[in-house]
Amino acid sequence: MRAQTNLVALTLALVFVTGATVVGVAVADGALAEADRDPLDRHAATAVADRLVAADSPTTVRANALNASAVDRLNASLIGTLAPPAEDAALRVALDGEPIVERGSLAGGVTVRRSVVVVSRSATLQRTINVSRDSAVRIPQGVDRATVAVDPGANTTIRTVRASGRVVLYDGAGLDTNVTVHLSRYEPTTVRIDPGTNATGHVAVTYRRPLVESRTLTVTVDV
Amino acid sequence: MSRGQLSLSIVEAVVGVVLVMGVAAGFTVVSTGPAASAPQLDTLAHDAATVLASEPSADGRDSRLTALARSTTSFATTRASTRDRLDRLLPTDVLFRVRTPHGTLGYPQPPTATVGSATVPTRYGPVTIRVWYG
Repeated sequence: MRAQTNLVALTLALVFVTGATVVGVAVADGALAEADRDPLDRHAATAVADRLVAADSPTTVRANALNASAVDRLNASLIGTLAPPAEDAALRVALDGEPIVERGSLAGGVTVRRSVVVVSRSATLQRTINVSRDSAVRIPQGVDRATVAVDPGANTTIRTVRASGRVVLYDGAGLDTNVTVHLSRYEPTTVRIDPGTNATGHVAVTYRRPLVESRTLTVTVDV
Repeated sequence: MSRGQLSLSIVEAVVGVVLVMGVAAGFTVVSTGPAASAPQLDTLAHDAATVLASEPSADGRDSRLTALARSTTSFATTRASTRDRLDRLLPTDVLFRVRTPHGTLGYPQPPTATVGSATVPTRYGPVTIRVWYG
């Protein structure tokens, strides 16, 4: 009788220990699988995405705003220069699923997504101030720079050009010039001159409206 | 060994189970760290914050992010357009919630989801953007 009780206890003990071992190995396996995250691929993909959207990157106009013409010119060797970890790696850069750069064939790899806007510029628009009739012109919101061409008529001296009250051009002897001035993107700008009475001539303000589109930048790198 | 005692095999088994489970518990505690998707979500939240902070608001005084934090009225006027903007900006499988000093906008946040967040200080108080896979 006593020997049989021991047999049952031994069987139970073996079942417990085997069960615990199975659970333990499963947990360890899960932990290892989770820890294996392709660190090289992830590092390279993150580096490419970071450098493409950085504020001082040649592909952007400001942080997270890609320049449309720079995106058209983008190629794999430029990406290698910007982000050395991805040099010679198979990579794919896409905007909303449309590939813009592809090199090599990807077998796996890590994908990083970034939210960006793509800024393209409209055709040039021109507003002209006829100095003999009016003295101000309004430029819409979003324009960050404009070219001001001052062409005074005879017996006219234009000394100051103001953008929303701020002096952007001044010459005490009279302006006769063609320069680019920086404006605030956040509000509509009024470009104003104060020519005095009986003045003639023209001031032409030339600018390009930025067109902003939201896109998802997808970078996949397989080192 | 008298009859009243626990069987020695069972005692050994219990000691063995405790040992194995201890090692397994070590794996779960030590090596997992944060979920793999958390840094990716943090990056998306930062991207959204950067874009909102560099975009003019409709009334043209300052950025959209600052307009959200400025006052209750400017929050109310900017709220709908900001929601549309974030819907278009973030990938389609990512949902968001924005918390400002004057209220929140976006989707209700699920309690268990892995969340990435970015907080931007503005002159009128902090604005927090949280994103998660929905």
